[in-house]
Amino acid sequence: MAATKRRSGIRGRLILATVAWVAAASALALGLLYAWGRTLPQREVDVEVQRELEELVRQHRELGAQALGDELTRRISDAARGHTIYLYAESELSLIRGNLDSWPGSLLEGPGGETLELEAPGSGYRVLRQIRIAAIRLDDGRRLAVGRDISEHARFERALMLAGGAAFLLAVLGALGAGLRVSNGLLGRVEEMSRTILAILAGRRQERVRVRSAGDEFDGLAAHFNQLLNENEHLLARMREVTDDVAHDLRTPLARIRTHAESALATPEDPARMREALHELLEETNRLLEVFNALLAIAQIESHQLREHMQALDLAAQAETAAELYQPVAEEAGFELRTELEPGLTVRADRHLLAQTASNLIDNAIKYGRAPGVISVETLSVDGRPELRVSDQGPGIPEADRERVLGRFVRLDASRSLPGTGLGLSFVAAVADLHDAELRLEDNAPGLRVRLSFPAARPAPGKHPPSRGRD
Amino acid sequence: MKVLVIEDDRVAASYLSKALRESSHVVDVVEDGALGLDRALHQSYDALIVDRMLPSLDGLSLIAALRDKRKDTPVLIVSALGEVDERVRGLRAGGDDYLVKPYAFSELLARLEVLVHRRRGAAPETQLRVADLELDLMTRTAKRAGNEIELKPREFQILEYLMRHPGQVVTRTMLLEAVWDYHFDPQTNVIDVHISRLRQKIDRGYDLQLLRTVRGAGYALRGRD
Repeated sequence: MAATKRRSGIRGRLILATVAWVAAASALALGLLYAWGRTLPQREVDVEVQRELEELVRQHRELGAQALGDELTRRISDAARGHTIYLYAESELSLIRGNLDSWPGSLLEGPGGETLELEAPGSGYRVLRQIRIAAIRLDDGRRLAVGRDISEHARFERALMLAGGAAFLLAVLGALGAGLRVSNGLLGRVEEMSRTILAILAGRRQERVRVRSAGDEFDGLAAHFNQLLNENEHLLARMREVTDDVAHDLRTPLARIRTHAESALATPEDPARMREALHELLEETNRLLEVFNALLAIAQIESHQLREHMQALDLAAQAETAAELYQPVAEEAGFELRTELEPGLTVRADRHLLAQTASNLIDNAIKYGRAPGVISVETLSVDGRPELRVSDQGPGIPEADRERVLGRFVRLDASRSLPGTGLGLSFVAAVADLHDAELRLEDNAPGLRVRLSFPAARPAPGKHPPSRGRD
Repeated sequence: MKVLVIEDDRVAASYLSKALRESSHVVDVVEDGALGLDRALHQSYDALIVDRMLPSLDGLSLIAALRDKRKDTPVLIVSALGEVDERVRGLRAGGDDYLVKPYAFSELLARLEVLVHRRRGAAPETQLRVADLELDLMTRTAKRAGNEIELKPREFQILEYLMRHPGQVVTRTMLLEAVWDYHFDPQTNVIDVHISRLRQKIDRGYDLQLLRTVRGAGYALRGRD
């Protein structure tokens, strides 16, 4: 409800803003046009009047006052010049010739013209006419004025005003329409996304925002939004998978524990069998705890809270310690555990996690490799990246399964009967991810080669050189 | 020895005190942190077993307060918080060892005895001896009945740890921590093979078997009982 209110608020503001901007811009443009158009005829008249005035002055100078009087009389009587005003007066302003009753008191000589409002000359009734008039003082002190009736121009001005107003109105209406259209278009897309989110919240998780072919910003947003939804969906699916796995892999040992407890209780008369059942119960509990701890450890690593424990470590030293720990077990199991360690490779890592990772990989090689055979533990630098490699000569992992075995509790059918939690490689994968390292499972032809490739070490700025393994 | 158990889980506390008494130790149990601190300060114990989550005063604060008052009774912390940094925090607060719940009682007992005995022998040693087995820490050599035994560096470390705790049970986890500084359980019993190789070297051909397996617990290096 609140969302709806806010939405219409945005729409109103959007339209209002559009209209206001268009109105302001068109008012400015039309105003300028009006101001210019309005004075255009007047300026033309001024030029004409000035020219005629100059012509008359010239006549006066060349032909004398009498000739000017005659010329004026002729011009005044000329019907074609009905709109022209002539005034010829003595210096004290008494009219000599002219088609006005008297020299208007407000008329002054000077360059340029001025606008006077006068009663129409020769009309029986009072009609105010607008006259554009210019006056001059002649050499003999008399005055001469030429004016033109520009009352007709007011009509042009009115028409101009009307057209301007109409244009303004059209612009505002257009802006209103455009604002509505744009806001409906934009907000429509937003509302569509909103609806999709609501649908997803309501449980219809498969819903996605429509991506149009336009490829505009909204399509980009919609596409990213869909990506986010897909990622979420993927995470949810993984979580569900994990929950299912946990349910399965924890329920099985719990069921066994229950069975052992029941059988211990069922044989009170046979202490030996009871002891045996209790022993098995304890063993099963320990196995369950092991799985539980491994799950917790992976979850903690995946939460990426451990980055603060990272330190510069010598990869070879870490690999050597782990190899040394497993050497006797490997030999006992019929393997030759070979180490080929390039020293001086520094990785930024959590020491405990790195140790456990190396151990897990060697542990796996012993469990799933094929004896007699060679298990090799190597550290080397590939393209400047420190790498830990553990390879065996066992059956390896089919290419199709290599991604899958990194998941939790994934155990390939061939190895189900062997002891193990199915979490070893998930742990390694989580550790790799925490360290921005690349984990690759490859064909050792025969066997499996696990490559853990760490980011190229950057020299710590201004810090002491990396310590070479603290063990 | 006399042990104070500060633990608010009654089932765990009663099981623990019963088991400790069966191993002929004297046990007091307190369920509250502040009371526990008071008891630890004013009575004399050989060791404390302290849970981290306690009413009124948490385990780590209790230990810190104890150390503040110059009381250096060995403390074994037991906690359900098992991450490495939690362990580090516990040891930094002044704990001497850290055990994650749930634990095997044998593990707890072994660690407790090691703790208590560590306190007693404080002087640095250069020579360790159990029966006719001798370890020279300076020259890094081992001899049984005068015959030199060749040991790999790790084997020497394992033997050294065992000889520093003669007669006491040493668990696999304790060895992993002490010799490798590994604080996780390898899935395979890697320690057993190391021990059996070490046993080959020190006990083969002698009537008296020094390195013994304590069933369900670990190992012990022991002379004639």
